[in-house]
Amino acid sequence: MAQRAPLAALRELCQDLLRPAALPQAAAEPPAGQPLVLAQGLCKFYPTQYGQVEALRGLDLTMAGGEYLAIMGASGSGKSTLLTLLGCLDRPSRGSYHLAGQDVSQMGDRELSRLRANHIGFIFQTFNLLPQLTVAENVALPFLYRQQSPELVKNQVEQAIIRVGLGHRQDHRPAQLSGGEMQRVAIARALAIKPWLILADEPTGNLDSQNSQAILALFQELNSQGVTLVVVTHDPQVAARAGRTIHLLDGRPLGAPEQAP
Amino acid sequence: MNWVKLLITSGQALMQHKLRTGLSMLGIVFAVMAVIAMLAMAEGAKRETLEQIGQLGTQNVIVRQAALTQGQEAAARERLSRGLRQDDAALLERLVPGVAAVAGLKQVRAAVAAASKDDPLEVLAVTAAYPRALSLDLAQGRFIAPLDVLNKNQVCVLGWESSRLLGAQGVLGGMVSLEDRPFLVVGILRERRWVKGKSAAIAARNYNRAIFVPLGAQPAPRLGDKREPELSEILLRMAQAEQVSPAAAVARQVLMQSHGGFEDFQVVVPQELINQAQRTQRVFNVVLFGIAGISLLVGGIGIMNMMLASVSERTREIGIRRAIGASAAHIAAHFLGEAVLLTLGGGLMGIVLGMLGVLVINMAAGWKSVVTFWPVALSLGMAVGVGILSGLYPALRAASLDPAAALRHE
Repeated sequence: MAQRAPLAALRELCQDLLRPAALPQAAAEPPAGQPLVLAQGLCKFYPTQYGQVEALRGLDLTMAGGEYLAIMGASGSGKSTLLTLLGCLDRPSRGSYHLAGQDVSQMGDRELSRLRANHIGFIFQTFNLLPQLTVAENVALPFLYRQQSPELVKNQVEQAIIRVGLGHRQDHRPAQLSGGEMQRVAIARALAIKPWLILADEPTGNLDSQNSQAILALFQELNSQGVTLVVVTHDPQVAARAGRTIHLLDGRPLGAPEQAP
Repeated sequence: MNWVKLLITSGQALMQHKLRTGLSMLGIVFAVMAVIAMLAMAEGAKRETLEQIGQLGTQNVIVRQAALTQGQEAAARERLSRGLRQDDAALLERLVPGVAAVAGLKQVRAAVAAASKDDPLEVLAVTAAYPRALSLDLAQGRFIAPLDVLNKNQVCVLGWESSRLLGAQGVLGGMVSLEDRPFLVVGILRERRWVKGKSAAIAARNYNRAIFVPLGAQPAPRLGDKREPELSEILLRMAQAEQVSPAAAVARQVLMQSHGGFEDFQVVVPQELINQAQRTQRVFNVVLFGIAGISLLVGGIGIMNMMLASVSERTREIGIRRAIGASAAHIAAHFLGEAVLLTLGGGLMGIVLGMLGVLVINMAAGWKSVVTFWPVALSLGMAVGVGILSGLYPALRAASLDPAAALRHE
């Protein structure tokens, strides 16, 4: 696993805390007049002991608000890396990425974290709920890292849980839920902060077909309500639901992006 | 960043593994408990010692006749020293600067009628300045006057307990018989707090059980008794406490001269004994804190070990928290908060247990241990410091994890 030396981390942390960061305030809507996602020549290299691994090698991507995009490709094609970059979990090695007009490639850890906490929702194949917390607490978790009044948090959390149809499960723990229900909780967690962008990494990979269909239906419903979605998958059926699909091969888009009819 | 909420999250994480948390806390608990209990005992012992020494009077210089072996006695005779005498007292009064009062005292071996043989009362022949030098308070009557000493009047002043023990004779105007000679009771002292001394050097007389008679009026030594010096003690009361040490040096020189250069006496300065006791105490405290520091260090290493294990165990959780918006600083705060809460809790528990331990010891052994503010504050501060030190490295490791890699971690 990539591990920086703790001392370097301390230095970075202090610098990050001391730097007067231009922390964007949480805006409910992305600023109009520019694409939500604008990536140009996106590259990501990982140094390993065997040399440099080029996970992404020059990718251009433009997305408008309200789009539903599927990213397909074999394992190792750079899908997850792209998702990491789009989700502001990491910065590109080369190229630029603007999220709603803000240059992500120049941001420090604190600003990136602020962006994630306020505007980006993640959904994972393995759900990634914290087992010790209840459904409501899991959904409320992102609010630990942003400033918001407790009443508003409670309200948004409740709404999100009801929206995914788990209003009766609020006080259950993940272990008491089925896979489909856990993924719904994860979706609620992503939804609760009213994000600009929801990123899903193989959201149906661990579900049976019935639950998969239900989750995909939920995605479509959310998209029709204006939520911008990016889904990484290697299941063509999942990709078929999206408005647009891009195929990755060895860190590059395969041919021209296909337009849905 | 909402620090309270982050701390609560840290606390919740600790509560998830109660046994693990409790076990790693134990080191700190015991270390703090030991510090609190040991320092309390040391403080109690110190106070007791200081109180005992204080009974001798911090403004006093005490010159005592030394107990001599036969050989030493012969040597003293050779130098023409006859031990402490009233002339010495007069000489000291004249020559020692800053002296407020000089009193002589002679311990008298005399049978007191109506007193029990195993628990004898102490007969003290004194000069008139004695009560002033020791601030003895009268309950009734008067003390021995200069004229009583001059005329060798057969009067006596009783300590509070002696008066009670002597019953009908021990009242004002009563007659107390010493070696079959009657002494008129002219005064009775008020009860005085007395702590039994630990060693001869700091032992104070129990004035409650004393019978004071004028110096010179005491019954003469019986035939065949060893010849004794005129006085067994000379008390110098100084006007100011700072004059005590120089006065002691002068007194020593004066007496050496008048005793022909033979040191058959001993100069005791209670204030110096107190200073010495305090110095000893300070050394003891430093040693104690050293030991406590080592146990805290060991406890801290245990906590660091546990935190490091916790970081790698919760790598996935760190990844999740990072994905939903936690910054590296947030993650560091989570883990640092856990370590500090752990040691703070351990410290508080240690303080409570230490205080309980002190209570139990006091009750069981009859000691007077005292828990004071500083050990409590200091050990709590040290515990929190250990928490920060032992939590810092694991917290930084957690914060330095690559979020994307942490999410993929199985």
